[in-house]
Amino acid sequence: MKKWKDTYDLVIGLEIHVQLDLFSKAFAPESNAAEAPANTLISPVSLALPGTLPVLNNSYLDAAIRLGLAFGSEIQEACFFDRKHYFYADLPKGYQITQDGAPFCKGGNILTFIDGRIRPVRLDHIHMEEDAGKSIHDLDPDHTLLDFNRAGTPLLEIVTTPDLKSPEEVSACIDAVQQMVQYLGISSANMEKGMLRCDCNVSLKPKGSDTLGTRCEIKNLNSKRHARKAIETEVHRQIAILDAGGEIEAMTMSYDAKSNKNLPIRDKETVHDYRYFPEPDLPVFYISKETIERNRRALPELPARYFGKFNEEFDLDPDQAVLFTNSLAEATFVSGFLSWGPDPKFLANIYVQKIRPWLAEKGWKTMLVKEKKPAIVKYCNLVENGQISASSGLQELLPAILENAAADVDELARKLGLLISADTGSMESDIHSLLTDFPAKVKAYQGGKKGLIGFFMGELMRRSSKKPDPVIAKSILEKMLSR
Amino acid sequence: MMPIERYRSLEQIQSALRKGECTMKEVVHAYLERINGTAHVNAYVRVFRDEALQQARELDTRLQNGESPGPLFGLVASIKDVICYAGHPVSAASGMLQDYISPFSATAVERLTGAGAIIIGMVNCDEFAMGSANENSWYGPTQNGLHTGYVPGGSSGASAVSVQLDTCLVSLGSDTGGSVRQPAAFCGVIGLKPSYGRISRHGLIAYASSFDQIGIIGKNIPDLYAVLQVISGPDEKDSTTTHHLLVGAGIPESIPIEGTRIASFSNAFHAGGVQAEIRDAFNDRLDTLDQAGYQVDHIEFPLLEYIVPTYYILTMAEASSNLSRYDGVRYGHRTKHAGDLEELYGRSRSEGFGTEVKRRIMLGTFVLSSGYYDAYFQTAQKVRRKIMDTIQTILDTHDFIALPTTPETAWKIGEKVEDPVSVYLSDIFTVLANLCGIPAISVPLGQDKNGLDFGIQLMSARDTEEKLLAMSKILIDIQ
Repeated sequence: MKKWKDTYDLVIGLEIHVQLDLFSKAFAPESNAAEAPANTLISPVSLALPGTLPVLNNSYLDAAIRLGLAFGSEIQEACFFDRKHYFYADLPKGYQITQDGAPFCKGGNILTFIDGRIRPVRLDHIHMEEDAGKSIHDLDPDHTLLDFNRAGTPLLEIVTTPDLKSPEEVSACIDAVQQMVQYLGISSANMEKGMLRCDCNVSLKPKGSDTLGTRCEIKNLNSKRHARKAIETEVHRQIAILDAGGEIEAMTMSYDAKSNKNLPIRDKETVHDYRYFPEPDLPVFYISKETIERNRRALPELPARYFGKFNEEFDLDPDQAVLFTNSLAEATFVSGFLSWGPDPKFLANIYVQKIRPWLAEKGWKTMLVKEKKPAIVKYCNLVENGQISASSGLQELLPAILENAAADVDELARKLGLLISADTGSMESDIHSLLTDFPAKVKAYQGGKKGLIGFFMGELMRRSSKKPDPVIAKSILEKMLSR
Repeated sequence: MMPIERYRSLEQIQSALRKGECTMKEVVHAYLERINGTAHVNAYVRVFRDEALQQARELDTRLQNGESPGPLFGLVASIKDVICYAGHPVSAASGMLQDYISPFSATAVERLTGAGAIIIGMVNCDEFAMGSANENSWYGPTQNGLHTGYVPGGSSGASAVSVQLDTCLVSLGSDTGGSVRQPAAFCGVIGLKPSYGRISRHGLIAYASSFDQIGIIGKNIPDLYAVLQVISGPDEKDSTTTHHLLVGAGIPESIPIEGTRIASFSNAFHAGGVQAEIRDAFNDRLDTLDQAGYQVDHIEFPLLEYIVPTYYILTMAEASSNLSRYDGVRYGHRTKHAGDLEELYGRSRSEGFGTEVKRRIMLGTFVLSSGYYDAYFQTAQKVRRKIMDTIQTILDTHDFIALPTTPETAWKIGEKVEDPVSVYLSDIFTVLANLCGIPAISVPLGQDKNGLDFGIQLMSARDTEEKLLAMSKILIDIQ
């Protein structure tokens, strides 16, 4: 991979299709639930019965505006829908209602986290489009079965500029989109369930050149892994052609995971004349300032804001900051948690090591942690004051606190024998008798076998009735050994 | 049997019912008899005999019990076979929809029946409302009710005939380019096309979405207004319905003579395409208005020659799109001879659609296809805008525009089947109102030497139906 990067720049643009979790469909009243028995979420409108008309679902427009605002896009004052025509058995009207000429928003940035930094990926626009139904080819040997539950489902199509430079950036960009729609609560963006799909436009240009190369489009990628592999495969295919002095032919392809190849989609299916024209059943609609403001007020704190808070205000390292920004629920919880009083960095560490996995196990019921605030704060103080060791506290006391709702922390620490005795005098006499018992090993240590410190520590721990603080014990041991 | 034709208006029928001079059952029976007696004209494709009688008996009971019967009680209507009526077949007079039953009612039908009206049956029309003679129908042509062998006009030809022959009091048709007004003129009745968006299109099988409007055919202005009041108004199932409500205070008793200006296009008669009797009767009527004190201005309308091409490019484009849904997959005609999906589409559509519909789908597909879109569709959109603006300018200084409804009277069935372009051109005076979304009405004007009816058309600014109806009354009464 090194070699081609010296010769070519990789240029990638994305079209990300997000299926929205709205209560009803884009232009029809029936339920938009994700899963239901085939052909149960249908209506005269989505089956395109004669005499039916589409009516824009207002919550669809609200969701669209919110995503546009979240990405800093410019919401257009006036926009309209277009019809995109093609015949397919799962497309009831013979056209999809989409936005071709006047999408509802333009510009903006997807803030992606790449290498612990925020990098903006510029958006061309986002547009609204309804989905088609599903053709099922593999359930019946003689027939194609049709399920119209998905017909009319509201989609948002997020179209970036050719701003991405590597498969890793593509992956990070999809992450950022998933994260954003999840923050806004407009889609689960689950790729496995087809809630988010992605088309990648891939081209190469001579290093440093301003002129874009001919692009090839890989359609309908349904996982980030596939997206990465499809791009890598496509890069190698294009390099082979370019290195041999050939020209890239614009093409639409689909990625075949089994063979790890991008297979061209036959011309017949791609050279479509979609015959776009403005949808006459839906009048031009105007998005008022009030509507925009109402939706702006409904926005939660966004990922970049939380990232900044964690990274700058709490001075956490970027990887941790990214991790905590993962979901709105977690970011909200963690930003409260880090303000509990004890050192935020210490809190962040115990969160990553113990509390987060425990919460994951408990289905992210953050209340369970919040109600233990006094105990956890107390725990932090014990560690800070050196009354218990950080490591044994983390391994034994903190889990015990999480599991025992109402326990007294001091009591727990005592029961677990974790309280460090402050009496270094008794520790010194223990060490003294230990060294007296192993004179040969003491000699060997003093002769240079410093590794024996582990042996002495182990013996000391075994002999001591009270739990000595290992750090203190080790320093006293080293001091006495070197005498 | 009661002589139903003696009752000339809803008011008369309601009064007779109230006084107990007749029962609703008798009224419906009388209409059913007339439907039977005029079956040869091929107007009705479905008659809801038992249902209508049942509804009539229920209404009689309500009247006997002194219950409120709804504002349109006593009204019996036919509806064009492109308007959905829940639980009933609707086929758009097409082979494509022969076994199709609509699970819902058009908003207009729901409001009509909700107000106490009875739907007696569904009437023939041109397939998917495409035609000007009611000849392009799966059910065969409908005859002009008073002139056997002549067309009734179209596409709502049978709607006009059903009123002409007193088989119902009013009929709901649809008007995309004159389909209510032209047959009304050919059949000597009144046809109103309201403003675009006045009546919900929900449940109207689409021909060209930005032109289609449900229209009303009847024998007098008050009946049309009574029906319009009930079926018009915003509908959440149709985003294009207007939010400008009718004034609701009724039709003004008179239009002030002073200051009322009527425009007519002098160049409409230049080409000589207008039948002499129509031209003369039209000019006479305008003169009468002029003498009565109304100001009549004969002005040039510079875009006259663009009206028909613009109309046909845009309606065919929209039609090609609207009719994509008839693919033989979910409902409607499906070929028995398909090997694969493409063949299923090709054969189902070739077998299901008639010649005129196929012609318009192909032309519409052509004008939208890449490479031709700009030259045809987009140019036509721009010309439409220009026509709208020009008409608006005229209506800024004039209350009404008057034109003959048609350049000629009804022709013989079959006479023009081979010459679609001459039929398209005969729509010149009616398509204007649909291009501009303004209301228009055709009222009877006279008869030619063969006794064939023709009409005069009046248009006004968008959402001014009450004023338009008031002036129409004057236009009728002043002769």
